[in-house]
Amino acid sequence: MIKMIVGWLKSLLHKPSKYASLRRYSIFKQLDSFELYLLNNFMHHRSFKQGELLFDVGYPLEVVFFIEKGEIEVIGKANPNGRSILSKNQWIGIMDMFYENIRSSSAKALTDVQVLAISREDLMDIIHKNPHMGLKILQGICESFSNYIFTLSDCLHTAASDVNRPADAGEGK
Amino acid sequence: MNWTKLLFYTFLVFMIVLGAFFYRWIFANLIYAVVFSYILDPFVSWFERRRIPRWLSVVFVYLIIVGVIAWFTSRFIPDLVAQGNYLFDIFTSGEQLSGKYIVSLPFVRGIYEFMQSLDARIPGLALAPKMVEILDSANSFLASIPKLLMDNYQNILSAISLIATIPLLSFFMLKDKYKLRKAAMELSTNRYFELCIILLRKIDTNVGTFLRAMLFEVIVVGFMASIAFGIVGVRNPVLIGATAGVANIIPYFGPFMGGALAALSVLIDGGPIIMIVYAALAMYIVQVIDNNIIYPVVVGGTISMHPLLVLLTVLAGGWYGGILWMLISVPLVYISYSLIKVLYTNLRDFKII
Repeated sequence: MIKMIVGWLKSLLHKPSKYASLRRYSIFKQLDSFELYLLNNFMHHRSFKQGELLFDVGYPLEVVFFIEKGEIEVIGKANPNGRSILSKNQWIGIMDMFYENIRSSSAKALTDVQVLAISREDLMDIIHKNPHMGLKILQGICESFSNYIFTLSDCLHTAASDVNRPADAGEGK
Repeated sequence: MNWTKLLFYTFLVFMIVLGAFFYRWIFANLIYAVVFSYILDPFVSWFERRRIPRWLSVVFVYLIIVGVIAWFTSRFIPDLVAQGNYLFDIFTSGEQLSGKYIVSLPFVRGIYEFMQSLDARIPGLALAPKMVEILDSANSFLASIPKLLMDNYQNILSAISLIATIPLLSFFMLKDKYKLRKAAMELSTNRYFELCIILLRKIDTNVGTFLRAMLFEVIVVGFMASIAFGIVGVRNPVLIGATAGVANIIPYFGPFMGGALAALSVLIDGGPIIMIVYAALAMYIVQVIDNNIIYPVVVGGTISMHPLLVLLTVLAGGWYGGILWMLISVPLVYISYSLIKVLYTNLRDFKII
């Protein structure tokens, strides 16, 4: 009986965070429940219909999108092969946020899409005003950039070897 | 356009107009509550960042304010009431401030005698009796203030009860700040979403920073002026200093109002004329400190308008709606100007226009 009561009290104290779903985005995976609550205060739910434009090249970057549902086609110079398709648990805009604050690509909804949107300035404010939390977010962003650079490097290697291969074959002939 | 859509939007506009008509009496209170919330928001957020739930943070801030007001009341209100009573007695005594008495005061007597000499030279001018007449009518108006208060006690009580609702409205605005922001943003379409976020942030930053900076300046100038008038020996320094602090919000004209009030106090008190010079000097020193240290550091960063435009705005505000509009015209014009600027830039950047 006592065990049950203790268990119940423990479950009260360790309630699953209401905002834990935000941890599915890797840059927020290290945040605790209070930090997620702070972040959620600035998140806006938006829905886009299939074929609707989220933003175009050259637009000012004010909002970073986190995809909850659906697929988005991103076309621009920052993507390997010039085009990529982003889906659930991925995000758009972090890269441009640290580069001129202008959209370097355009994004269009391939299916009906639901996203969470946060203002770039709100995100930077959170980072500035909560340094401990900011450090975790910036660490997550660095990890994602590092992954991106390696992916890009792999793409370049593959492309370079594709370019070289026909020439080698020619020489062999 | 689809007829159903058109019908729906017409109905929506009708409902909004109806709602605005129904709630029109509380618009002023809502605006005051918004101002109050903007001033308190950084303190609430400070507590919230220390992991205190937002509603509890608001309660803490309210308790601190109540504590400060209680301390201020016990420390300064007796002085203010005594000084206010003194002025009130003078205004309402009738005899002391009759036109004949005022023109016998040292500084005013000079003007009165000059007018009398003009009257003697120009037949039919009668400036001096007119001056006594004007002073008498002003005095009789001041003497009727208590009667006015008694006659309008119901209006005054309802005004007090309305003012009491402001902290309550502010409580909900502060507690549900993020919910209200989200609800406001949901009204925007996807095309205008980023633009609306930019505008909301601009309003948030400009209004909040400006209001807090103004409040800080009022308090600092009020304190400095009270101390300066106290040192000089002007009677009622706390009351006059506090009034000078509030009047100081009005660019260019405000400081003169504070100085004029101090000079008036010296005149009524029958103090020596040199005291007026001292009081003016005290106000000047306060102004130098305010203009060179406080304003540039606290308010200057929030506003960048050409002095000529500021002057014209204050004049226009004064013509339009008296002292209240003189107080609010500059921030109102500045905020509108910066919003239009941001709106125009972003409408172009987002290729909407």
